[in-house]
Amino acid sequence: MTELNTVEYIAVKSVAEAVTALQSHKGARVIMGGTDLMVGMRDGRIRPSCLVDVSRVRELIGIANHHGSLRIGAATKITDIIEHPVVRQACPALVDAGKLLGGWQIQNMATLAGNVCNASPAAETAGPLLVLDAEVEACGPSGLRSIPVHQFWLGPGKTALEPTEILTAIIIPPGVDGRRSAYQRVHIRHSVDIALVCSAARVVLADGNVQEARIALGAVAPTPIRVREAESYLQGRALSEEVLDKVAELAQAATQPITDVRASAEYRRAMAGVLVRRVLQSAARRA
Amino acid sequence: MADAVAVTSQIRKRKSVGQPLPQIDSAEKVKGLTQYLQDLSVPGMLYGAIVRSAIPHGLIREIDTSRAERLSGVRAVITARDCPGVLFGPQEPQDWEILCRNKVRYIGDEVAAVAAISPDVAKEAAALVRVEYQELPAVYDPFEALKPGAPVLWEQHPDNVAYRFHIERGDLEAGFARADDVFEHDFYTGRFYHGQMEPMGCIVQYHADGGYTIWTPTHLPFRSRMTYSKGLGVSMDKIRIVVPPFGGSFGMKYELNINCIAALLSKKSRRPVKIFFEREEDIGAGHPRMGLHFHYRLGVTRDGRFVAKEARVVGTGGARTFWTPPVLSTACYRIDSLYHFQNVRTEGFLVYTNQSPATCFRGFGNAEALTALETFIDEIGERTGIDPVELRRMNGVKAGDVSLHGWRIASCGLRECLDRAESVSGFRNRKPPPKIPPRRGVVRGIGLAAGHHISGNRIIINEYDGASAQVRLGFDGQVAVIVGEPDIGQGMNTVFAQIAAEVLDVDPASVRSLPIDTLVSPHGVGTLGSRGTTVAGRAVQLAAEDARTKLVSLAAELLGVPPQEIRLQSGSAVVASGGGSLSMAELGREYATRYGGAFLIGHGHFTPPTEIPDATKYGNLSTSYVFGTHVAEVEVDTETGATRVVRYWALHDSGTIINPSTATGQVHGGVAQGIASALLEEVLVKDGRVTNPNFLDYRIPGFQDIPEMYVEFVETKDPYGPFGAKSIGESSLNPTAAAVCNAIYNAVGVRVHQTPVTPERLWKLLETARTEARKKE
Repeated sequence: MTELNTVEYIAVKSVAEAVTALQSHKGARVIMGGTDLMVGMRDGRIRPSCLVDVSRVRELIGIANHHGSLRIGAATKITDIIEHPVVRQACPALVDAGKLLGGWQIQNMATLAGNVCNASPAAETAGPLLVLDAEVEACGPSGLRSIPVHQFWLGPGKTALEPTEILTAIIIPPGVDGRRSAYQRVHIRHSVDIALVCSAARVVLADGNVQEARIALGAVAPTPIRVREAESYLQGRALSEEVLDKVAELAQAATQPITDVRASAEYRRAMAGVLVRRVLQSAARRA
Repeated sequence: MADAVAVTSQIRKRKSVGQPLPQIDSAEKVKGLTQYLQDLSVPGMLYGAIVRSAIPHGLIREIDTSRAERLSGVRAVITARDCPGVLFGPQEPQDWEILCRNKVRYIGDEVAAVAAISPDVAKEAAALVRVEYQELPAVYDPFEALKPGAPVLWEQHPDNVAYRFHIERGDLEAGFARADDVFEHDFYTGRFYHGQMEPMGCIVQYHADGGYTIWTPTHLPFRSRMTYSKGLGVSMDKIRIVVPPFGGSFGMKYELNINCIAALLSKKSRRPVKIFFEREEDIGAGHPRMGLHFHYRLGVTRDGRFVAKEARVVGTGGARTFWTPPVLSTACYRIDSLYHFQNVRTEGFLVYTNQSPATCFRGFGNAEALTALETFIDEIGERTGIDPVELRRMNGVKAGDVSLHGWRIASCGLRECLDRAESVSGFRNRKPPPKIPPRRGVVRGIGLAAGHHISGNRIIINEYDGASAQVRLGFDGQVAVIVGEPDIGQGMNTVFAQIAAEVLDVDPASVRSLPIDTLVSPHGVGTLGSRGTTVAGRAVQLAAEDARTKLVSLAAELLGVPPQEIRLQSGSAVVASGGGSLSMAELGREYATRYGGAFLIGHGHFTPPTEIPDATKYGNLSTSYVFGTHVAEVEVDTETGATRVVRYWALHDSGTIINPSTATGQVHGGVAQGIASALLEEVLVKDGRVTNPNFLDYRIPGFQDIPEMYVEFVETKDPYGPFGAKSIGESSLNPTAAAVCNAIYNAVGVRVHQTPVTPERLWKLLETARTEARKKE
């Protein structure tokens, strides 16, 4: 508990202030909901020199739909995202995932950006963002930049963000049709739990055939992954049993799972196949 | 039938017993006003932290405490040099040391301790203590530990057997010779953590006379005092234990070495010392339910009679002995009082391993044995073609029976529970299990299991079995119950109040049970072995009856009528024919005024019809016996192995129910915990280290894991407990895991032989079954 008592804390009012604070405090960390950061600090896994609290920065809060893109402010709470009518219609996979992210208390505190920056291979929202071709908007001393989400995670707990950068928004670009998207996971406890394996998918259908597909898996590799072989295989095909079997096989081949206290590599690989089938079917049923 | 009518009319006349009253302290708890141990502090109090072994097995070469001692804010550092050095403990073999003298035996073993001005400083100081070890090979698996040449934990036990149990009754070989079929069964129940809300903790203050005051929630304030007095080298009367409200226990908080560690820290620092565990410590270095391996061989006649049972039970006790010897014996032979096996032989081994010492858990070995046995009976039913419920009816005990080992079953509602369970749950109309587990889809299954338990247990302390109580009335009119058995959060004090209120005809909400303090409370055996309501409650009833006699005679004198004219009614003593009454407050004031402020005290004591078992372990162990039947309906995802319990029925014979609300609460909690033991919870250990010491990876159930439950009580009439009440605390958990496992079988056609049945474990069994089926094709 010592760390919690002695860490410096700055509550900022703007993104610019946040960047300045990050520049002037080496080893500082941005805090939003704190649902991962505070636990990591208590365990001594994360030892920031300073906490830069952006949870009340107005420009970081809210969901905006403009020029056909959906912009989710970094400090928007998971609850606000999953209850948002546009998100519910345009990105149901993200809603599926948000509902499974911790319990209600966590959903009321946690933010989408926090879940992304925590860079857990099992992060609930990672798969949905991957299949929605999301972009991460970051702001640093030299201004704004955009990073495709599939390039954002570098390893467990590691991201492409510079120490002086802050994630400002998650953007679903225009033209992404996310209406047929879904997320599911395998877990042990039905109440609050962490994914042993999770998967998201998005399909665009034309005359019953897949025009475009995105498939993502979590907790089967050092970062959340896309299954591109399966995506291209699906193109132009109907979601028949045989096709789904092949997709499951391709998905399993794309995994590099580990054995840990939660599951064996063998089980994770098998469940990757099960989940990919299920999310594709679930996504396709949505309209 | 006359009896039954009499009982019914009696029940109708009861005002307090049988009422679903809220727990007396529930409002205070819900409002957050209850002062638990962590809310308490004593002026000048320091905080203790324990230096724990980082290796599973090794010799201590050197302990350097100098850096810790120099840290600002540290007031005491202790090692084995500060300990009396005697081996002590709650059970034989006594192998506690307070702090390790020359050897560590598990990751987490207590090597040194510090007391400091804050928990943070104490923790920092503990980390500064340097311990040099010479590492020794370690052993974790009990079967490995039993092999010749295995690493030896204790020189006195070169075979690593801490305790060996043996029982034999009848002629086993003759029994098997009579059998038409012989079946075998193996089952393993995993290491299971109590998951109580409040971790372990204590505050201890050293006194100038060499004694100690200990504030700690414990089931056993009096018995644990015997243990600590030996460990600390002081006489029993020098140790005072005060029991604050419990934040849960389920068997964890019996007797704990931290009380002795805090005592020595207090002695050295001359300040009170609090030790309170963090969750990681409570799970990682704490004392879970031990893993138990069961092997059964059962001889059955063609018509379904059990004629011989041979069993071998192996317990993974860990590095020291807590309450595991009686847990092992319970796991070995209590089931012989549920069914007539006629001829039995059971061998039990409690094995030392390099893990934290296990201790008792709600169910006390019987829940585990029933998990193994009731899944076995389900399988025997299927293999013999005899309905498994009929097997239980045919072989189950009845009221008036004496078990093989001399246990006298005075009342028994086993058959009623089985009958009701079948008819309310639809178990009778279940579908047969699939021959091959389906490749995909969610399938349903239903499973039934019976169970039983005791209500009080002989030989918790050697000297006596029983309880005493006082029911007193004071100057202020307050009716109070004084017992030696603490309320451990399950509602004992509410039940005691209802019993006393029934006898005196006062409002139960006005009756207080006094907190337990060994300096003032009567000697109590403790709240364990499901004895609270039955044994202590009976003493309360007798004390209240004595108080009633005294009140009646006082009122008669004051009102100038013969005592037989006086009736206690709604908080007053009234003249039956009319013409005068006195309230309790008036009577209390009058009594106190006459006798220098004295309380009017009713005394009661109850000595149950139990016996110390003889050398062959023959003798009636418990006051009364309880029975139950559970039915679980599950959904299994055949692709992932995930199981969800979707419906549940629990039928219990616990005699007269004093409080249907708290009794139902016990069933809800017991079933939830049982489902958790069946599907979710296991302390995972790799190379001696607990790998899931947190509530993320140690999964206690949430609301979505526990279904709605149907709870029904079959009230038999028992001659011993208060108003015929028997126990519910442990019997509510006992059949659950087996009911769930049997339901899984019914859903997918695959037998499980290990709990918890995690999704991955079940998936592996399903995959194996499907692969074998494909091979056959």
